[in-house]
Amino acid sequence: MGKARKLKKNSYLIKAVLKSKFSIKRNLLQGFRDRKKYYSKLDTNADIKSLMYCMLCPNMCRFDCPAVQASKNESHSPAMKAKIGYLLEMGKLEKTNENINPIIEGCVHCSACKEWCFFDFAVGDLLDGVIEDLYLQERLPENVLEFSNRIRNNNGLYDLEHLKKSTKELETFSKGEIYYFPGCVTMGNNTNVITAIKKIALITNTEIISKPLERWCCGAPSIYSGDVEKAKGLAYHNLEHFRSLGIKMIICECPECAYMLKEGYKKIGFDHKIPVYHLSEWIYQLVENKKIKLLNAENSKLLENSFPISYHDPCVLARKMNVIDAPYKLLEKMFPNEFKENLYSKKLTHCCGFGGLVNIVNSKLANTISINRLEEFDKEGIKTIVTGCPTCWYSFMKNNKDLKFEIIDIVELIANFVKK
Amino acid sequence: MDFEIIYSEKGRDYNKENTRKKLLEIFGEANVSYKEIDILAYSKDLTLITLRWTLEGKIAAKPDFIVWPENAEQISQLMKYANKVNSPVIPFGSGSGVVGGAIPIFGGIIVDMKKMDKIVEINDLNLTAKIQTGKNGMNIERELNQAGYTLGHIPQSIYTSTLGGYIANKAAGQFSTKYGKIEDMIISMEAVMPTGEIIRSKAAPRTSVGPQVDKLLIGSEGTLALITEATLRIWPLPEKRSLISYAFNTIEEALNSAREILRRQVYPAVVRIYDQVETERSFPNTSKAKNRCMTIFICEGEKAVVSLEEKITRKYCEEYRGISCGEEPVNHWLERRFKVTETSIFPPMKVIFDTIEVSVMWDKAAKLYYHVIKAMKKIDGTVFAFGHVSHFYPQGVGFYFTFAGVPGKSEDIEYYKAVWDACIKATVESGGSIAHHHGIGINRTHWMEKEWESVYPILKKIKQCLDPKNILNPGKLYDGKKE
Repeated sequence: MGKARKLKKNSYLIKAVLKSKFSIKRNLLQGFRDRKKYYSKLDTNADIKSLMYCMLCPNMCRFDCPAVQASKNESHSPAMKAKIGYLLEMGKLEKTNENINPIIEGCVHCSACKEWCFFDFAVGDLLDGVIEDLYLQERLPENVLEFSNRIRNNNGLYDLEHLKKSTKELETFSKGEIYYFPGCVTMGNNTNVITAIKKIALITNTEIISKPLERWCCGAPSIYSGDVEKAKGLAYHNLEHFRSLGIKMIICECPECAYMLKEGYKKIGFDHKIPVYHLSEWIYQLVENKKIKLLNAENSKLLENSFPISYHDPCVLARKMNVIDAPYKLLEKMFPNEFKENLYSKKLTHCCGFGGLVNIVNSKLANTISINRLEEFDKEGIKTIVTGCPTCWYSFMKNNKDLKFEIIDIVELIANFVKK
Repeated sequence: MDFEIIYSEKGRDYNKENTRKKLLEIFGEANVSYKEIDILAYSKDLTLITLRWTLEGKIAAKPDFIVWPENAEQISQLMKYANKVNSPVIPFGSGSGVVGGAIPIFGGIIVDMKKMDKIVEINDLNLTAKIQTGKNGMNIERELNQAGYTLGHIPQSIYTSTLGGYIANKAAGQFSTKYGKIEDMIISMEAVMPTGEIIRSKAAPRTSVGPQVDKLLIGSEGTLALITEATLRIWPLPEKRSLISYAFNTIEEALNSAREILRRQVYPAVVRIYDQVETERSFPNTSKAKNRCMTIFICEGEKAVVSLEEKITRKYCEEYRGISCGEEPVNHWLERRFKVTETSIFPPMKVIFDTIEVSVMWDKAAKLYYHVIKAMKKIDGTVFAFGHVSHFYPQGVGFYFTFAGVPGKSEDIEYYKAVWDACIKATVESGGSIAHHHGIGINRTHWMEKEWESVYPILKKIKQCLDPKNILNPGKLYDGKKE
């Protein structure tokens, strides 16, 4: 806001202050000067002023916070999480597991709160600095430390043994300037996506390279567990890896990886100029450039009797990366009559429950959030849920009780509807 | 945790260990907490003075336990047990009240209703929705909208409040001139009485079957029952919405135009009149409104009805020399109406501020406005006091005042109480009622006798009869901090 506009907006206040007597003016000035005592603190990675502003808000985003909507516990409400972070940073709250837990188990880092915030805060972003400080002070709960150590030891979520199948599949991506950066969750749990990418690459004669044993985790999980130093190490390694291969473009099926590579690396001091795309964006460009055609539902036997079909927007993809149009346009091409948009879609999507470290520290709560999300599709009579995130896919697969839904990653789905 | 506790250091004395065991038995481990961090989270509501306390390391009060019931039967068992051991029970929705209604000033058991949050049924033929009271207001409205309906209850707190809170505090929303206040919306309800009986009233459009016990519970602020479910009237989504705004030279002219409109049985969903200062604050970019009183209207419903309402509204605005300002100010209000950033910005600067709403009949409306503003400004330390008219009836209005000031050498709470009391005193002297839709809570309890006069002893007898051990939300409405 420009200075003139700010003055105009506050003219009522300026007039009131000018009219007030000297003692009031003096007290106002004193209060203004003293305000910093509530948030000035050296040697901290947290933005304490923003945490303070957030904790003083009447929780105006709480209705869309998946954690408090699932747990119903005020300790998980956005303003209370900010308050816990603030009190921990200001030394007013003992750093016990019980006091720290709500800010870890109670935030899926989905940024739904940001959509409703007049300060443009995402509570998860504000808590990152608090968690980093707790990590450096060695005060984080044991299960969080175990998780960060897992990343440190494996340079990813899983050990190599767990990734055998995907590694073999990925080794066929042997040359090119486009790098496919597979997410840990995909490598460990859903190799179908890798096969699907291979199919699309073959049809379009696109050369893609991927080095599963040389690429390391993107670093996002390390940030969530406060281990920023490790995240920096992973970023440095990955960027060197891309540079050594002369990579011109990166594609990711995992929104968390895509966001970390595209924006997160800059935030931790590793700027680069390699364009990063989510696979839905890349495939949409292939369709637009007429390199591939998509069949529509009538021409495919896949998903027969599993309509209507809907799309779950992954939080990171829709809100943080603003990738919304590509998946919807692709789905509407394939399912002109069968596609139904969910009430909570696009930037107003709801988390799958497995964001942040919630599933690591409180899997019951993560699963409840996941079930809540599935119920939102069930209420609309949806039979097939498509998503563009391996973690969302994993969460839904895990909580798809009685196999009520078909759950499929958008890349895998498209690979079944694609022709040259 | 080492926080200074404002209201009660010890709370009421009862056997905590036995109570803990009993609560685990009734609600199960997943639905009971006595963790320090949860106790901190439930130690307050959104009374604005508590924001200063938060910054100063103080908390309002500490509950002993928090429970999350999943059905009325569990609450019934709790109430029976609480009567045996004499533990306070405090109903809790989202803690968004602004007068201290949910603060557990004598400790006790907080009953968080949020696990009872289903829309049980929507009945298109009857135009009703049966909803559990732990449901968030915005989520009620979103789900009803998806099904093609609206409740029409849109308070500023809608993002952060629950149906139970609306009923318990007799709330009113921004669109209430058309859709009514919460008491107009309730057809029937289910509630648990202080001694554990579960009552369920019958859904009927109207009855003539003696006094309505369920209606007594509306506005009882958790002191007479724990309301668990309500059947509410709903409406099909409006076909058309019309946005109108006029600027008036004086607040009297603005009030007169609105009065003329309502006496002709025209009910715009939204009517809001801002005094000159609040107009400058809320509509700084509307040049025609400079030094005037901005008035906005939203008419909505069937096209033909809306067109007619708009025509009549404009006629009476122009009759009182209103200057049309177009749709922009209304759109501006629609965009900014949930913006409450002052709650974050003012407290760190030691600025004490709050809002106070009262109601008054038309014949005393202007007098009350001037009297209250003058009284609030008179308190040493006040920087500004302004107001708007937020709710309208053919017989009168609800005023919504805002004040801010710096206490200087006196304690925050002294200044805060002084302005509150000045406002309420001026309201009583002007013939107004001391609360329009925020309720009584802690802030207004000591004014109840003055407000109700000859009725007050009856109200106390009702409480004594229904809740002889003063279990439900003690310290509110009837006898302040006395135990």
